[in-house]
Amino acid sequence: MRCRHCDTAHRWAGEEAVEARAPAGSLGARRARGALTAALRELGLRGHVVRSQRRWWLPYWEVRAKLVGWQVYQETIREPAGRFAPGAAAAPAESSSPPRVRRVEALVARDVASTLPASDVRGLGRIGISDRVDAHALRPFQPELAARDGRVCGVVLSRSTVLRRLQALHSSGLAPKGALGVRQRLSLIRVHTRLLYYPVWEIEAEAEGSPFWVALDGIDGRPLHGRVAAPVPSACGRWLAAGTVAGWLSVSHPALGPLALALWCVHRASRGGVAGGLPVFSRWCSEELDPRPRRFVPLDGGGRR
Amino acid sequence: MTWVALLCPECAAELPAMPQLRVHTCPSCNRSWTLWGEDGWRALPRFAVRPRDAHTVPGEAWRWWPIWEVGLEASALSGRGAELPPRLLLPAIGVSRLSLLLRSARNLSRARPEFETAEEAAALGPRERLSAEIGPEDAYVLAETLALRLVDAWPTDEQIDTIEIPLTRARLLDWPVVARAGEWVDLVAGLTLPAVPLPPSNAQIDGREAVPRVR
Repeated sequence: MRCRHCDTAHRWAGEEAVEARAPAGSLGARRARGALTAALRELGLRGHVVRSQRRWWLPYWEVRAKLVGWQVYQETIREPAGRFAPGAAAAPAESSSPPRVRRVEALVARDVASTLPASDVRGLGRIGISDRVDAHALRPFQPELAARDGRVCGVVLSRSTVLRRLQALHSSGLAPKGALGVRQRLSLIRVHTRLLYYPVWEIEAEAEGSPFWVALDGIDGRPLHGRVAAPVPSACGRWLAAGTVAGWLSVSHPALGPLALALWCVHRASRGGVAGGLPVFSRWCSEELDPRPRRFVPLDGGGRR
Repeated sequence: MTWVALLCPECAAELPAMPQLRVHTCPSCNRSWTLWGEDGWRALPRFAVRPRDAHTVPGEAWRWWPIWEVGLEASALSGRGAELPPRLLLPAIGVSRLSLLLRSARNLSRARPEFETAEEAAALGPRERLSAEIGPEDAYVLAETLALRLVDAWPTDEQIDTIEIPLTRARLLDWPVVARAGEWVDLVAGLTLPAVPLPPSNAQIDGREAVPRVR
């Protein structure tokens, strides 16, 4: 890092003192609301009222290091397929002896790079940001400035804990599949750590009378987590068509009437409606036959990114 | 949290700014510095090793390579561990090619260096000292990695993840090395060292594009 006044290069000093950075160009409050409006419009919701919104700065550890050491294990040797000369009477019989194993000793030298959450961010829906960080320019993070228009989440995971997790994470996949008696002695060298603060908007709003909560990516405005009651296509038309066909069949072929009734019973039993009694049955009717039913739909497309 | 300027505390010359460096050697006064916690720069003494006459060629321009010397109390080990050498010598450049580095370290550790006094080293004339990519902490890790496979059949597979290697002090040596026919040859044991890209020489350290600027 170079000073813009004297043009002198600088470095961070201290093992525990780490550089903190954040993506440049995060969304403001108005653009975050605009992103929410666009997301709701995709679900067919036209109007909503934002009750509250706040920006969180979530800390992540970005670690780059080299994993070095030794690992020893036993590897099963596969016997090559038996070859036999042309014209031989028969293929050789399969050997009944146990498979041979050989000892393998391997030097491990692997560059590792990971981004791990430095606090519990599961509630806001964002688990990893490694795919996002590379795409954005980063600037030094200034917690005092960030705290003016948002909340800076505290770092609860120490650097040493993160390094232990990183080592465990990368050590587990080093031995090949089927290796037996794996013994490893690994360490991290040339460790470079820094904190990355990622912005997330948390918005509480109300759409068509039902309140909901959503977490939006503070850079591109995509919904990360949350669900909203949205209209879904009614099954009324399908039930009407099915009833018409069943009625016609039961008139023209009376034997099919009991069969259709039995199929309907099986359908209800599979949804728990038979044992639920009248209240459950009436709720099912209102859900299925309501001309404009509403269901909770995940705003992030059904899965967490 | 502290920002430390990459300037030599002794002569205020600009230190090499490559991010992979752990020991920065001043191109002006030839002193070596490492960052020590939040205290900032700390001088790192380097101990010059005498080149052997058998390997030197008069008039040949050679330079000092950084080599970490890590002491080892082999007597505290049982079995064949007692056969380990009393010191492990690790090149402090070329960590990107670890297998080559460890092979060189294995060969170097068999050498018996003779040390120059400060006056003798000065009498050899000004030589370029290279910065190091490996700091003292990483030198201990690599020394342990080397020690675990320096003696055949020791330690056993059951011991490999638990055995303690009794390492003692670490110090940075100035090792005389010369470039011959595209290879680096050390002038103490005549060994070929890993052909690694070197840190920038004094003429190249002004490559400002390698260091990001604050915007």
